[in-house]
This record gives sequence, structure tokens and C-alpha cells, in this order.
Amino acid sequence: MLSRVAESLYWMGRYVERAENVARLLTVTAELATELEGLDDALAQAQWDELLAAVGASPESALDFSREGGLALPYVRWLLLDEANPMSVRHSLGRARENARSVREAITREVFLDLNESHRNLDRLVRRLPRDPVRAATEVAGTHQDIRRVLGSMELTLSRDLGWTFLKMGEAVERAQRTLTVLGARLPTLGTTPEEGDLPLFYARWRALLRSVASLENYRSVHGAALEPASVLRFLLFHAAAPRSVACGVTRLAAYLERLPRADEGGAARRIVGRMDAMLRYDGEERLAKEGPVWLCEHLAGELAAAHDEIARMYFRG
Amino acid sequence: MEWIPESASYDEIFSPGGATRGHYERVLGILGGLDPREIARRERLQNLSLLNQGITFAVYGDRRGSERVFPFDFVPRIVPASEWRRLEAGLVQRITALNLFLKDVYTERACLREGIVPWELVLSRKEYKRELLGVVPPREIYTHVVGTDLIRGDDGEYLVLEDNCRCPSGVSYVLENRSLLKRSFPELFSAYAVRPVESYPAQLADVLRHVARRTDRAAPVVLTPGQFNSAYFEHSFLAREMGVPLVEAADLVVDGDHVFMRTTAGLERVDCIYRRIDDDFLDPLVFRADSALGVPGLLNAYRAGNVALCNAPGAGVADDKAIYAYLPDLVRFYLDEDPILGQVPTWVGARPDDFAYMIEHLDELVVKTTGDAGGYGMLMGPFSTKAEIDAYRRKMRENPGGYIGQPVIQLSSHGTWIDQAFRPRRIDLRPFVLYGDRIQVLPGGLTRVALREGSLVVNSSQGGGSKDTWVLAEDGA
Repeated sequence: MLSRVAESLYWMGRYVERAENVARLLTVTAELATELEGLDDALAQAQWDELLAAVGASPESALDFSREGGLALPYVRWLLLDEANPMSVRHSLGRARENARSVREAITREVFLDLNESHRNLDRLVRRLPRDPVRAATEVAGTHQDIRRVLGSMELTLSRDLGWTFLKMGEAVERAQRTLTVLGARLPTLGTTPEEGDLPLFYARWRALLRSVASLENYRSVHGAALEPASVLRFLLFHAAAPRSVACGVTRLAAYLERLPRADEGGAARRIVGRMDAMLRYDGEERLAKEGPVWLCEHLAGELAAAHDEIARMYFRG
Repeated sequence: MEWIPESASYDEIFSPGGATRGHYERVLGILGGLDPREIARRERLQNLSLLNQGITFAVYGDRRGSERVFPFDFVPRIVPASEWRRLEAGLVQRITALNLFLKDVYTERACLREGIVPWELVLSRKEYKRELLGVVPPREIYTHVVGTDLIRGDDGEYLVLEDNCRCPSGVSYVLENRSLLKRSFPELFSAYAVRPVESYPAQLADVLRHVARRTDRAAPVVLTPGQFNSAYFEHSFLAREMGVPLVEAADLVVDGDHVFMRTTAGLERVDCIYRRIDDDFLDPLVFRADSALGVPGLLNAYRAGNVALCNAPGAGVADDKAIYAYLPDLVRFYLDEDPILGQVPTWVGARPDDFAYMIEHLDELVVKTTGDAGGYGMLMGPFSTKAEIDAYRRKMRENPGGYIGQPVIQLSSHGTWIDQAFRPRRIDLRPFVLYGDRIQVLPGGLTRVALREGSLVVNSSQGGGSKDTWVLAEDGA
């Protein structure tokens, strides 16, 4: 497979995953912030600030975050539709589409069609910006559905060849990174024990954390309805069967790396990912207890970034 | 619903008396039974389908690099079987002669020595590549893909307007138009035996493998200038349909006179390149040092016989506008046959008598510069002011050999759905011809239509659209 094509597919996988993640984070954050508004306005505002931290976006100071049309509206517009914002869903879908367009011969018609249509739907939205929170929420949900359709087309139609491996590698890296950044942004303010009389609020916030990485149902099926912060954290870090856990992403990545040509020469990427995989399987609990969750998240994020660099050096530069 | 016939040129649908030509009767019957609102609904679906599939071309000079759809008209252009048989024979004959001419120009030069074509005319062409003198491409095929532009004169006679021997484009629209029309107007197909066109990519792949040195395990690729090229959709479409890699110049590297592509598994050998970039941008070491598009060393690999280039570099000299004037003589010279297809009378500036005639009759002629394509540098005499003609005449005197002149030919007209009626609009036809183990003409072609009333310009960049082109399996079918 051409190095250029491999790189485009890898980035297509990353950008579609990123668009999906941001769309879901927007929905969950808007719902939680709505619940909090009136109850604790500062906390409601904090949800949005943490969301920006979780996607690694910093709005320009000129951006209008006045509360015209509700607290959520400016964030939704900026993170869903603003082309100039490199973390917006529109930007990600646009890049995914550009990548897909440059490798149309390597993907199926269905994948391109669905991706192109999602992108065009967002383009239409830009021309008539949502002006009230209900419409905004509907549009986010519609976009999210569009993206899931793209993911479905990939699953249904793409050949499980080398291209697929690169696409899925991009997806796995992006997804694990997102879980880590969401944890990194939310953990410091979440608290591990509810304050007196605040149990419902405490639950709402931990539930939102799980939902924002699409893991609430998965968590319940393992741990039941009681949200125990320590087990939520372990679930998102170590649970091998949870599709959004860091361990699951790293295990997938390790398996994909084995399928690549010249895997035995690809020493550095394999070493980094193998080391992470082993740590998450065997030493995770110990490191978590010793170094704390914030350190662990930062460490893993750094290792993932290093793995990305090595993959790019080995396979994309030709 | 109203059908408006054309009186100023040959009407494809109606005979001069106003009667419907036999092969169009059923189309008129079926379309006549549709409600205009239903037609509008189907047209919207067609347009949406084109946009969603990204079947678009880039518009140059547009700041945002925007993409547009090539407008599609659903009234099919129908060619009866007997008409097609003659066209097919004429195209095979012409392309055989073009290839013999190219081989001759780059080797024996019999046509020059015997005075069929003047030496200086051939040797001064920009498309003539002296670097390739003595180089014979694999299996002596120069033009693996040709898109010949045909028009019909007032009497309905098909005439060759232009031979496109370099990188003719449009075949993706032939296939996409067919698939689009099948989905949006399926009832039309049940009334006719229309010859399918879907085999084109497989046939093209066969041609590419046929000319590769390692035919058993040949690895063909499609070479594109990249996604900002106006025909990028087609490049990617053909690569996808053939199941071969679509490469850009930067993906290729030449080592030891062999061509390789950079893959995730390291370098992989390439045997055959269906290149969709011009000669000048193929190899910066040979043609244009300032080109960022090319593959350094590619021509050496080609000369060494290690890679086939389709079409062969240097083939452009055969579709030159001045050489065109000599084509009938060349057919007789190489094949000892009379040309089956007619062509447009052409005065060649390099011939003093012709030039004198052109200078005197500019107000009646279409004058073209021989080097340019796509209507650049052209004078449409009957539609120009005296000042424009005088200025053009002064330019012509500086370089007589750079010009050719032709009478204005009325293109044939074809009913086209515009503003709630079927109105006559001018059309041409570009069939696609493949040259591998034999010459094959795809039964169909790109019918381009000038959507503006009275316009003769069918180019997509200037208000042109396209139609599905049906070649019938048997007459009257």
C-alpha cells in the first residue's frame, strides 16, 4: 500500500473518531450543564470549561460567550460548526473528507458517500445557525447520527486489508487519547466522595463522565447501578472489554502493529505500545495507587503520542 | 409537453419535415407521459446524487477551489446500430493510421521523406519530442486511449473535429451518466436494447497489462497530478474501478532505470503507468526542469523498456491541429484506403496559399492556434468585431505556421429539458477508443451539450452539460 494512502487512511480514521467524540461530548455536556444551571451556575460553567480542556481547544478571546440564547449555544456553535476551530466537528469532518477524497480508490463508494453527505449537512447548517438551545441540541444529535452512519459504512463495506488496519489504528489512537484527555480534564474537580446531601449531583457528574465516553451502559453491566468513583476510573483505564477504555485501545493498537509489513523492523512503535500494554495489564493498579490518576493519564497520553510519531516515521514517510 | 425542433442545424430527433425519427419515438412517448413535477423531482434526485457522490470537477481560478457538478440532461442521445458500425470502423481505421504515423515520425520518417507532411511542420510542433527519436514503445502502441471528438454537419454526416491522443478525459461521466439515468429514468431502458458500457475499466486494465513488460504479474498504476486537478474525480474513479493504485509523482521514485512506488512495505516495482499528466510534467530531467509534478528519471526507465507509459510520450504530435489537416492523406498513405470518416475542411497557416486565403476570409472562419487546447487563443470570425479581426490578423502575420482555419460548422441539435420544455441544444460526441491486443471502441461515449441557446460551446467550463449516449444493439431496437 502506498505510504501516502496509508497516512490518509490513518488520519481519516482519527478525524472521524474525533468528530464523533466531540459531538457526543457536546450532547452530554449540554445536558449536564442544563441540569446544573440554577442549581449551581458556577459548576454549570465549569462543565463547559472542562469540555474545552478535554478536547484541547482554546477559544479565541474574541469569541462571544455571552449567554444570549443560553449558556450552551455559543459552545455548540463553536465546537460543532466553526471551521476555524481545529477541534470543531465540522473541521474534523472536513479533514476526514479531504483525506477520503484523496484516497477514493482505496475506500468504498458508501464510505465516501456518507462522509460527503455528513459534511454537506454541516455546511448547510452553517448557513442557518441554530439560534435556540433545542434546535442546537437537535442538530448535534443529527450530526452525531450522521457520523455513526459513516462508521457503520466503514464496518459494513471496507475490506479488512492493510488500509483497514491503518484506518483502525488512527481510530484506536484517537479514542484512547480522548478517554485520557477527558479523564485528565474532569478528574481534578470531580471528587471521590459525595459531600453531605449532594449525592444526586455527585452521581450526575460521574454518570456524565461515563456517558461522555459512551461507557455508561457498559459500566453498569459490569458494576451495576452504583457509581463508585474508584471503579469508574479503573473501568475506563483497565477494563479490557470496554471499547473506550485505554487498555482496550492499546491492545487493539498492539494487534494492528503486528499486521503491518516490516513489523519486525518497526521496533520503536512496537516497543512503546507493548510496554503500555504490559503496564496496563499487569502494573496498572500499582502505578495508579502509587502515582495517582493524573500522573497515569499524562504518562499514557505521552506514550501514545510517541507511538504515533514512530508509526508515522516508519510507514508514512516512505 | 412541448418538443421544439431545430431548423438551423441537423436535428437528432426530428427529420426536416417534423416527423420523429424512428429510434426516438419510444423515448418521446415515455417522457411525454410524465408530469413535469415528476420530472423536476427526478432531476433534483439526480443532482443530489451527483453532489453526494462527489462527482464534481474543480473550477480553476475559484478562490475556494470549489467543486461543481457537470450538469446532466436526462434525454438520452441515441445512435442506431448501423450508424455506430460505420463510426466504429472509421475510428479503428483512423487510430490505426495515427499510430502508424507516430511510429513513422519517431523512426523511419517515410511520411516526411515522401512529402506527405512537410518536415518543418512536424519538427516544429511543441508536442513533437526529439528526445524520443528512435524510441519505440512496447508493442508499438502509442495511443492506448483516444477520445475522438465528432460532430454532425447539416446533412447528419459524422465529422471528426479533433483527435485527442494525449490524456482524453470524460469516460468516467460516460459510466456515471449511464448509472444515473438507469436509477432516475429506468422506464426508458425497458423500451430499448442499449449496449452496456460498464466493461470499460476492465478493458482499460487489460490494455495496461498488455503493454507491461512483465505481463504475468504486471502492476499498473494511474498517475494523477493530484486532487486539485479538474479531472481528479476521473483519475480516482478509474483507479478504483480497475483496482489499481492511484499515485502522485511524489509516490514514485526511479532507481537503476526501474520505477518504484513508496509503500508501507518499502519500494514496489511499477510496470505500467496510465499517466494523466502531460508530457511536459512527466520528467523534470528531460522536459521541464521547473516542474514540481514529475518523476526524475522516468523517461530513462521508459527508454530502457522497464516501464510502459500510456499514452506514450510524444503522442501529442498526432492530435496537433495542423497535422489534422493531413490525416486523410496519412490514412491513404499508410493503409491504402480512403478515410471512412469525414472531417472539417482545414486551411493550414504553414501553407502559403492557405494562409493567404485565411487572411482574406477571417470574418467567415474559426481560426485556432495550433499549440493551445480548450478554446484558448481562438478567433470566431463571424462573431467578432472588425477591430478584433484586424488585431488577430496582425498577430497571425508574425507566425503564420501557428494557425489553422476552419469554416464554422453547425453542430447537430438534440432535445434537452430546459424551462419546462424539450428545447434543441447543440451537441457533440466523444467516443473512447482503447488500443491493446486490438482496437476496441466503447459502444457509447460522452455527448456534451451546449446548454445556452444558440451556443456552439460544449465545454464544461463554459456552460456545457452532458447526456447519456445510447448505442443500440440492433437497428430499431
